[in-house]
Formats: sequence, C-alpha cells, structure tokens
Amino acid sequence: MRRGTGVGLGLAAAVLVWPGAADACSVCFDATEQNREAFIGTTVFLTALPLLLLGSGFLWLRARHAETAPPPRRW
Amino acid sequence: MASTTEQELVVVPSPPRPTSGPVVPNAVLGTLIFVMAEIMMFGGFISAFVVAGASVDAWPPLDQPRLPAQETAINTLALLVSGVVTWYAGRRFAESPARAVRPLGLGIALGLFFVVFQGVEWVDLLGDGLTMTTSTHAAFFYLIVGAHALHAVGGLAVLLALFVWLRRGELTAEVFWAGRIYWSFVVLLWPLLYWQVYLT
Repeated sequence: MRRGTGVGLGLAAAVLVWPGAADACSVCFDATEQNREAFIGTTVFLTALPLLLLGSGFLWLRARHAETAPPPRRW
Repeated sequence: MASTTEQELVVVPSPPRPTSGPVVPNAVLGTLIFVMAEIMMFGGFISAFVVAGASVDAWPPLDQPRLPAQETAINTLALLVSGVVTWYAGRRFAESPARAVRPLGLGIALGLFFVVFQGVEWVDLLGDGLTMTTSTHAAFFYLIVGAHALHAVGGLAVLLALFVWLRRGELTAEVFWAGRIYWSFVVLLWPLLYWQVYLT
C-alpha cells in the first residue's frame, strides 16, 4: 500500500471517529432532554450577555456624545 | 512714493473652538464597568444553578427545608421601593441638594431593612438544618443570595457615605450618580435572583 493511500485511510477513519467524540460534549448530548436544554439555554445566555452589555454601553455613550458634543464649526 | 508694493498681512484670530466636558464622568464610567463585570459574575452563578437544577429529578430536594418565598416577597418589595426613592433622591438633588436628604435617608432605611430581614431568614434556615453542605441546592442558595447580600451591604455603605457627604454639602452630582447606579444594580438584580432561587 502506498504511503499516500495509508494517510488518506487514516484521515477517513479519524473523520468517522470524530462525530462520536463530539457526542461527549454536554451541549450536544445528555441523558435527559431537560439538562441538554439547560446547557444550550445557558450557553446562549452567557454568550449574548456580554455582547448585550457592551453593545448597549456603546450605544449609550454614543448618544451621550451626540448630546454633549459642540456643534460643527461653520466657516 | 514707494517703488515696491507693500502688502500688509492682517491676521484675524479665529474664534475659540467650543469645548465640552467628558461625555461621562469618570466615577460613572468606572461604576458602569464594575457593574458589567458583576452582572457577568451573577450570570455565571445563575447559569450553574439552572444546569444543576436540570440534572436532578426534584429541585429543590424533597427532604430539604423550603425557602421562605412569601416572606421574601415582602423583602423584595422593600428593596424595590428603596431603589425607586434613591433614584428619586437624585432628581431632587438636581433641584436642590437639601431636598435629597429625606428620600435618600428613606432609601437607606429600606435597604437596611432588606439586609436585616435576609440575616434573620438565614438564621432561621440554619436553625432548620439548611447549611452550605446540606445539598447542592443549599450550597447554590447560600452562594447566590450571600453574594447578593455582600453587594447589598457594600451598596448600603456607599449610600451612607453619600448621605454623610450630602449633609456636609460635599456631595457632587457625579459621585451621587455613580452611587445610585451601583444601588440600582443591587436592586434590579434581586428580583431575577428571587425568581430563580426562590420561585423555580
């Protein structure tokens, strides 16, 4: 068997094995549906929360800047 | 008669460029960043609590003392009113600092009521045998509610300092604004914790 063929077969075998390993992730698989939903929900919550905080803070600062900034200079 | 043309260069000074102060006072910006970090911390606590509760059949465990949800509802109301009157004190402060003394004092009194009531509740629960090591649910209860109680005590210390400075005439609008932001965080966070820990 040529070396390239061996590497290709090895990669194919790895690809076939990986999805099984991914099932070990608690978000992808769990014994109870309730627990899986809790993992997904909290993952979404903790992902969105900092973005929401930073985004709302940025928008508020921009609005404050628009209120307090001096008017544009006219020549 | 001059043989060369002399041009006089007249320099007209440009009008001064209007300037403005900072968009947000430093005290307010610092408090906001701190509050954002605290929100993330409590977000992590709540997420862990929800996941732990979803992995068992009975939550809270059946053999545990029940949390006093009804009594704490009164406490929750007291804290919410404290937040409202403290915010109102800020509006009165803008009219005249002396007018903010009474609402700020009332806000502090209601906040103190909340903290003392929580302490009494904890003593009762400990007497009923609910401790940090009783169960995962009990450990989460003391962690989440205790962390909020620490923030409430810290917030009360801030409000008391603001009150003293207000009476002395040393309180600035920026510092008062920052203090009210922190207390609003303590107040607005509690109903979420109450719902998750006591009602679910």
